[in-house]
Amino acid sequence: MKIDTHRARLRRWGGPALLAVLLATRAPLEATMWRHMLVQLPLLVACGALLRPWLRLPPGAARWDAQGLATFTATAFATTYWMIPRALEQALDEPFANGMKFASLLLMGALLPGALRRAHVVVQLFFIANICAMMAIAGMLYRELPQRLCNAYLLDDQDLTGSSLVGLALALGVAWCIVNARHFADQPEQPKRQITGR
Amino acid sequence: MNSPRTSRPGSRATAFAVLAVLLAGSAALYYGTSGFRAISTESARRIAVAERPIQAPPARLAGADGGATLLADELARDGRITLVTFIYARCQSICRVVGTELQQMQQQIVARGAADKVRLVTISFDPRDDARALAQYGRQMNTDPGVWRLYGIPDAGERQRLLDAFGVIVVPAPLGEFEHNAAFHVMDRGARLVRILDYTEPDAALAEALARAVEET
Repeated sequence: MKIDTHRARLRRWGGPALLAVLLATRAPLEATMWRHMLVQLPLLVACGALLRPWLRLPPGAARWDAQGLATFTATAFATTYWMIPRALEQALDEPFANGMKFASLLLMGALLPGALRRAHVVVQLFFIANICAMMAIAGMLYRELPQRLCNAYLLDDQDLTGSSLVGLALALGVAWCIVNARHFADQPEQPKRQITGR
Repeated sequence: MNSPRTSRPGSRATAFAVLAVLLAGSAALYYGTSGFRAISTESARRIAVAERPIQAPPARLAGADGGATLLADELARDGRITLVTFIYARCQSICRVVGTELQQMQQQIVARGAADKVRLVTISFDPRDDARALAQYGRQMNTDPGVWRLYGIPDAGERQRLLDAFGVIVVPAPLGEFEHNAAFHVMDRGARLVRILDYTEPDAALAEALARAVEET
């Protein structure tokens, strides 16, 4: 009983606590490109997912997001946008851009779990593959370009960020495959008519 | 799963939502890339200056000879088109390249007989670069004061405002070095920054400055 309430409290307050930490550590996390893009941004998405107990979507909202299509499209745009070096740098010196960064990634994190639940594995595969491919290509560009893409970050930092983006793309792809491995196994034909007979 | 014939209740709403996301996302990308033209801050800065020149804020320059003048006065008095570069004197990396290029540009300007139209000004952003450090740098570079002058900006606030206005960002790097977005800044006699050219394109920068000089006379 006691453990349960403990766990419930953790689930409820984990999101706000992480958000507070992310707000408090903005300066050190944004001081290097690597920490900015590969620590702060992913943690913001995770934080959005943890904040779900505090966000109540109106009933029927899922109607606007069948198969998670709207959420996945938004996710593809948001990941692309925050991998543009200039966009990342704008978040450094423009409070509006930084606000949009927090808002877009928190929202993305809050919507993704529901979208993943609704989406068929093929839909998931389409978007995951797209996002991972884009991330890997962006990472390779970061590594290959001889000039700095952000005026505020050092070239070595950019190299490291590029390698890490390629690594993250691979890790995301592999993680998705492991989670969804059961879909790839040959399944015996099942009489479907009884379940979907409508 | 979804056959096209069985349109589900949520499919139209979802189509609207996806369309809205596509529009908003495209608008964001357009904004973030200066109209799909720039992915780096530096290219965005160069596009912005080419479209809308930037007036230099007031800044007092201290020369290698110890004299002090306002940047705007200096440019107006001189009357030539000026190629401004930013450096720090103890630089071992990019500024060395830029320094060598500036030396060659100085020779080019003299050889082409363009010393009455175009000149070079190099401004240090390192507060440690006093008149002595600048004079020493000038000796290393063999500067001809008629074509190429070196300055520092002693007042920290003025120095930072000039760098900010021009979008020059200086980042401390290991071993006491700095990294900064090195470039040739074309300035007219009205103290306006009119073009920025990459530090790897000294010929283009010189050509641009000469074209401006002809245009303005």
